[in-house]
Amino acid sequence: MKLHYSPGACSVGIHVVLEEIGKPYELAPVALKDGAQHKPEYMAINPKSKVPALQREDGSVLTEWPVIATWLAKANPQAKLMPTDPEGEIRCLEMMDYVCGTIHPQGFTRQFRAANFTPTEADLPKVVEQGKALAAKYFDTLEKTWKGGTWVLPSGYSVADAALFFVEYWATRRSGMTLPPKLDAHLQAMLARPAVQRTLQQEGLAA
Amino acid sequence: MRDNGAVLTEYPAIALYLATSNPEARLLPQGPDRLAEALEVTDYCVATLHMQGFSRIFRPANYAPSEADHPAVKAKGEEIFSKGLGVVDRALAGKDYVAGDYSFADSALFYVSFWWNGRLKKDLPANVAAHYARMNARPAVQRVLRDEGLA
Ligand SMILES: N[C@@H](CCC(=O)N[C@@H](CS)C(=O)NCC(=O)O)C(=O)O
Repeated sequence: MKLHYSPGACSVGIHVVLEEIGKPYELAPVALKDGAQHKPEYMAINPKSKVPALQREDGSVLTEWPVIATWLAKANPQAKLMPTDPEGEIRCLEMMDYVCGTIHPQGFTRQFRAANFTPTEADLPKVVEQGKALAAKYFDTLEKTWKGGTWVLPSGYSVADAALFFVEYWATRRSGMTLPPKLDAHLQAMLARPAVQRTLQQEGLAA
Repeated sequence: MRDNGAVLTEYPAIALYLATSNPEARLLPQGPDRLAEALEVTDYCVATLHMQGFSRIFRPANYAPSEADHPAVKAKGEEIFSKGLGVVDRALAGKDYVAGDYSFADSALFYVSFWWNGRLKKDLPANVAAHYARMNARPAVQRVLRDEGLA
């Protein structure tokens, strides 16, 4: 198995999931800064030009963060990374989709790639501010609706925690935001996990 | 809002929930690989074609603060949408439905196809167009379009 990733990108969450599972896998860096995602070599692997992409043993490639995480959890039931009852499973997907479909693209892409939102350079700071405000609002919603304990689902640790982790990490390490208390405690709990520590170290990121 | 009063959000989660809790409707692909295929297309339609493409076309003000930039934002939305349709089109080659047999994923591709072709009056690539025609022929789709006043 091979994970196509970029250091510190949202793929870091899938990297955590692979470390939690603990089976051997390879890492293939994609230099997003140099536009490697748009080169023919990478587009032959993932025509969507995004990371993460997971190349499986049979050579087939899986894309979309929540789908890669769901597949990894189901293919490795011994790692217990996803609830097996229908209600738990669906809440897990709901959380991953909120992070990957809303918090990431609406909150953080606005901050990190403001030029994808507006062609007018003078408006860039406004777009960044808007991204921060949206991210803060989304985190606030999660804080107020938190049903878990240490982990985001009441059933315990799951791939949904790895999703929440990458936006919490961005918020505190890249955006200089302060997280509400439950989310901050969640981030600290994630940072204490050996799988997360190995992942950050392998990607050359600060803990 | 489900029968027990609990609310479920996020399109892919709702679609998967409905498919899982109504097995007799046979909307759930069997096995982790087929399920991943269906979820992958669902997520791509919702998180990329809709939220990155269509949102720029319909709500450019959510992207660019200056009104003068809105045509450029819309153009970028169209580019994202049409590139995305191209990716789905290639994945559909040789298949009637997204995951082989009909599944919950087909309705996600249907709604973005409807927006592109039905609302924006733009051409769909060949395999997606054939899929859209197949969907429009389904009685469930026809009832939905009628109920929502879209037929
Ligand atoms: N819908 C995709 C989005 C992934 C995504 O946006 N990845 C970013 C990195 S955090 C990326 O590859 N960006 C490169 C680009 O947009 O050029 C998913 O959930 O996996």
